[in-house]
Amino acid sequence: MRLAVPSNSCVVTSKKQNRRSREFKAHVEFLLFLLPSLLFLVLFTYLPIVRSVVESLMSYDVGSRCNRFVGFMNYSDLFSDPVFWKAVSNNLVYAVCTVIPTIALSFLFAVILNTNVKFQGFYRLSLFYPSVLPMAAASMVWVFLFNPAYGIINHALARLGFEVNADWLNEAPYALVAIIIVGIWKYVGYYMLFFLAGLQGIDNSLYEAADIEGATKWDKFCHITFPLMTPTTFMVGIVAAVNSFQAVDQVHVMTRGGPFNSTNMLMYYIYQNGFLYWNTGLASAASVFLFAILLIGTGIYFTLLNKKIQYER
Amino acid sequence: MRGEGDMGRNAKAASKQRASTRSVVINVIKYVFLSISAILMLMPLVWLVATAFKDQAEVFANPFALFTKNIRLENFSEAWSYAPFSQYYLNTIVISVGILAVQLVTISLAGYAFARLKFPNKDALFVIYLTQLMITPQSTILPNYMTISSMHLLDTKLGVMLPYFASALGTFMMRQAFMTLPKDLEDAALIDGCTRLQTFRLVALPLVKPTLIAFSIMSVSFHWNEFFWPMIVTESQKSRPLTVGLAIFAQQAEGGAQWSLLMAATLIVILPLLLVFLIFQRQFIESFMSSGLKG
Repeated sequence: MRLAVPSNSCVVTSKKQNRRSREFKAHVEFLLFLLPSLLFLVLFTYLPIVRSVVESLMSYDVGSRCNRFVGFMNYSDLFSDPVFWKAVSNNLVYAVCTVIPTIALSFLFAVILNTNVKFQGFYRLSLFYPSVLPMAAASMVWVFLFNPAYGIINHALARLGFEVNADWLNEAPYALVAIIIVGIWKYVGYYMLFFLAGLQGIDNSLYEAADIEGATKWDKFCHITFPLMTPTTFMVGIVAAVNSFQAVDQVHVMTRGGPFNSTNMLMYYIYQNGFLYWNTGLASAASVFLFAILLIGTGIYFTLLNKKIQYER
Repeated sequence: MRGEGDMGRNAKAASKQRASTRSVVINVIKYVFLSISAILMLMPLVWLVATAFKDQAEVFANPFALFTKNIRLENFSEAWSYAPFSQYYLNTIVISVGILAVQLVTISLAGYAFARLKFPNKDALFVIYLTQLMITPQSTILPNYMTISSMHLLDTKLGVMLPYFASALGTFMMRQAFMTLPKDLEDAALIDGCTRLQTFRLVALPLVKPTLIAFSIMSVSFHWNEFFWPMIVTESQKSRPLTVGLAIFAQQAEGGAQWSLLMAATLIVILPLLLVFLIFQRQFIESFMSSGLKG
């Protein structure tokens, strides 16, 4: 802070001194207002990041019963663990296969529901309600629906002519598909709201001007709606991608990462190593890897946000 | 299609006709698409409710049956007696209300500071603040567990709540809200001799009530539904919230394939928030919409 500024030896006008003390008071005020939230942020967001980095460079030594600095050993262990790479690739597949359909569908739903639609409230409700359910409880319902003997999904598919005799949650490619379906179902209505908010923010006079020019609905969508929604789409996409790297509730409830790690994902891998195998060093290294992904996402997000704000001015 | 084949009509009318047939087709596609989507989206909820009232034998007999002849309310009392759901309810309420109460203080103070008070490099500090939007307490479970453990707060409700007492999303929403207020009112209060804290509490805070309510809805529905962190920190029923209690109940019920009991228990867990959502649908949707991303 600026407290250490040496006061000029010559005559300092009292006005200047006054201003400085007022400024100082304002800064103290700011810090006092920030203090309560800053305390918890430091304790549970910033220090944990630092702590993960530190722990990832340490290893528990059974002989001396204390943590010992081991350099990048945990990282080389992590990067040579095939389960880790399996979790990363599953997570990538999950991210791509949920984010793209979710964005496309939620955008489509928002565009349709933004026009004159009968029973609009009902449709919006049916799309949005999964967002207020706990993921853990919703996953439980899906476990029942995916059950090969008594669940509705296989029976309904059979009746529609698709004989899928899959034991969804216990067979390798199907289990991840099931988790992806649940991911899309849970969040499509949530992201739809952001698109709805974006659509309602578009200046109506643009459409009126296009009407005067004789533009068709399709023209208006291609040349007004779509370009103006592009920044929103990117930002929702990043948020959705970042969230998909923290998906864990449904993995825990539906498959526990199985069968044979075919649904293991980053957060669940961290949980397994940190809490089930007590390999804190390895779990911390994986956490640092996750933070790196999340920080890159955050960086892109704020860059876009800045651009969008400038663009709108 | 009355006019079809009528040679007397001019080209303009014909094209108009084509346009209107096309808009009918588009309308049909629109409603078919919406209806199929709505059915698929509602399917889990419908099956959850239907199964919760069924007899176990009926679940095995016909997976398509939606309505049962004899509605079994006993499923609910049985599920309730198998697990201490009343204790879980109390825990969930204490946890989500407790988190909210502290959050409202921390976010409004911080939001006000970022909107109104002066500090060098304030905007850079704000961006650092927002990191928590992405690196959520969910992703820092491992170090947070160590912290809570060293505070001797494992298996306590306070331990579940602590990591959420600061909220970047809330701070962001409050900052936006305070920035839209006219400054004159607060300046007048300051000139009249109010302190900053009084000005904040008596002049500014009452004017941002809608944002406080919007954030409250988001916060409570998030923490009512939270699962992974409480599952890790809690070890006994004295601190376990509903979601974790349900998962433990499920481990026992799923083994015996007692689907109707499990669905009854699931309904017990999700019903309060779902009902509140159905009643205050507009407020829910508006608060989720106002929660940001708009810049």
